[in-house]
Amino acid sequence: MLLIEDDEKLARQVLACLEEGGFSTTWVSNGRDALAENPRSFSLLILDLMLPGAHGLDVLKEVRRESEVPVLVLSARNDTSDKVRALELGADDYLTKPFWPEELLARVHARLRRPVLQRSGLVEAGELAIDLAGRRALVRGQDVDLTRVEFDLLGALARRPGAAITRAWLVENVLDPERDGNERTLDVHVSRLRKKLGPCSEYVETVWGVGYRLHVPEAA
Amino acid sequence: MTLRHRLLLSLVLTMVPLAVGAIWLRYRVDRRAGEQAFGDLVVERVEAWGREACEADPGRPPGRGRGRFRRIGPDGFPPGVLGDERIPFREGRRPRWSPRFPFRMFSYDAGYRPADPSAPPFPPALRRALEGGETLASTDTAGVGGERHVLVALRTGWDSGPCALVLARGIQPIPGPPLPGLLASVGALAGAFLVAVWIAAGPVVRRIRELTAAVSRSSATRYERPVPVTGDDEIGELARAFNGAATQIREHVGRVEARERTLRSFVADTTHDVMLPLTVLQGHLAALRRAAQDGRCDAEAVQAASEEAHYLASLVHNLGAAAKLEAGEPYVESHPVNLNELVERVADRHRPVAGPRAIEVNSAVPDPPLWTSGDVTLIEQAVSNVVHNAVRYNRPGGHVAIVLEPGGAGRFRLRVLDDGPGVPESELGRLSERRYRTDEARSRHAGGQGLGLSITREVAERHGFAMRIGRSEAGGLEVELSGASGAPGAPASTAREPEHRA
Repeated sequence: MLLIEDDEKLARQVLACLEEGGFSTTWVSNGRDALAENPRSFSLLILDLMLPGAHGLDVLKEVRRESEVPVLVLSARNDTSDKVRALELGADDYLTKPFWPEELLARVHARLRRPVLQRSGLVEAGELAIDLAGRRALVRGQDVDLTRVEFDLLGALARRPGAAITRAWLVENVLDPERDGNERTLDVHVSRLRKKLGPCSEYVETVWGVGYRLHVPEAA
Repeated sequence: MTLRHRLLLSLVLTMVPLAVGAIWLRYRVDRRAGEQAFGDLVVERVEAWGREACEADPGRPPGRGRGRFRRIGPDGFPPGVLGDERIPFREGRRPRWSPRFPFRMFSYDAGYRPADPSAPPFPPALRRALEGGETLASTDTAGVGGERHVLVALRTGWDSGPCALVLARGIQPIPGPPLPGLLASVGALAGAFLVAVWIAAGPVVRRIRELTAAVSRSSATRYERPVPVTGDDEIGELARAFNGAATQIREHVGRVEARERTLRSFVADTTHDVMLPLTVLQGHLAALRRAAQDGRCDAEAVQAASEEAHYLASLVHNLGAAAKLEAGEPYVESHPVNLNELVERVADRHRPVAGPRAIEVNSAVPDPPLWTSGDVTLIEQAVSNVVHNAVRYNRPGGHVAIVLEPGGAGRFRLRVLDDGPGVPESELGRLSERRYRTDEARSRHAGGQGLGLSITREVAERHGFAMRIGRSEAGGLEVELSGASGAPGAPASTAREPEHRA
């Protein structure tokens, strides 16, 4: 990870925070050094827009000319045009100062996470495996006998592992519209599904105010 | 240069060329008449000479030599001595006589060869005129000693002999214009004109001077006092135009001054608003320092300090948003905004403060992502304010959810709900009604929800979003924003899978 930040205090804090998050980070204080560091060899760039000498946007432009490395921009000025230009120039996300270390880590994780969308194939959450193509759910390698609706429900959560899916969406897209489909019915189906999953029931999480999600331990 | 001088100068500059032109034209007309009279005389002489006499001795035409003219009556001329003739010349009704008119004739054959070897060559201009079909042609040329000569060429009709053509040369009977006299009369006329103009310009000059004085008085009163409008003419219009301009200046200055007052109070209020949480923060830090010295750590004070810092950041953002909203159009921008990413950023921003108080911040975003258009900073701050309130007024162990869903018919629906204590029904109405105003909505640190929610409302209004505040199913507050969605040429970053976390 490469941090391009001119303020030493902030840079040290960010370094400590990233270190704690398990990332090894190189710090440079200006754009020229950043370009000399070969940005391509890093998995993520954290770029402060207010750099001395070259403006951060120019550094971003240079970096984008030669690599597709994800770039997270730090911006002190809460200025829309700066953000919009940064995004247009290929920045992936931005973080407005002041920010919490946890906030920074969350954004870094979000940027590093590979697209996990698995339209087909196998989704694994701990000891639970869901074979979307074969419409099978396995707990510790054992097939679980699920009804059509129960599997559709599990499959819908598995297609976006870690994401909270609203009750309304599940009612509309999973439940049989012919039959009585409301949120209460959905909750009944979920509780039956959990019972069948036995030791893996905790992976089907209730999300307050939203609905349900498939908890994937390694996702974060 | 005064107005009068300007008028006189322009008068002189127009009159002099006009007078000169008129004199020159008159002189031209007179000279032309002289030419014609000479032509008539030549015809007369040639006829008197006769073909036989001419052809017998073409080298000795009559009219040779110089002599003094006798004055004769206005009706005609005497069959006088050859070469000593007077041209009868009328100008208007009054005959004007040339004092002296010597002239001489030469005869040429049809090939323009002279009978008299001392004769001048036939002038080409006259030759061209005769060949063009004229019988008589004349021209006025410069002579010797300041005189002008008139040349007359005549086709006699006796084509076969040496007298086919006759050329006569004489002194122009019309002298040059009498310059000194003319100049004197022009000068006198001009002088009279100038005096008249000087006097006539008086009232106009006086009114302009009065207007100038009135304008000076008006500007001395910061344009409060209008200029009197006198007369329905150009000067009156000038006064009216000045009054119009003065009104505009007054309005503009008024606006600038009002803005400056707002800015001053804004800076004063902002300082106050920021100092308050900073003081609280310093208090917490002092408590922490003491606790650290005693070798214990007060988790509650740390959390309180964190929340205060969080509030401070949000406050500064809100003040920036307020300034932007107040400044209006050019500062409120419109770009495609990825709402999925916005929701995730807001959730990530508040989790570090909510987490330690055991308040869960959940978020749900749809796939594919929803986009709207607007000012991303303002929309993010608007959503952040609602979430901030939901976290701030919640109980430990509470929940906050940010749910973004398609709202049908190309709209998005963004709900922020919590299971906090909520607000009484009466307050609910008040929350929905309150409008944002700089001087009122700020300094509500104690009440808390003032500035944040009013900015959310103002941002929603600017973007054409509907905002609804109600009670959530769990008994807390539910704030819903909905507006037009759609990806106007969604940038490539949409292809990246957005994050879904709860």
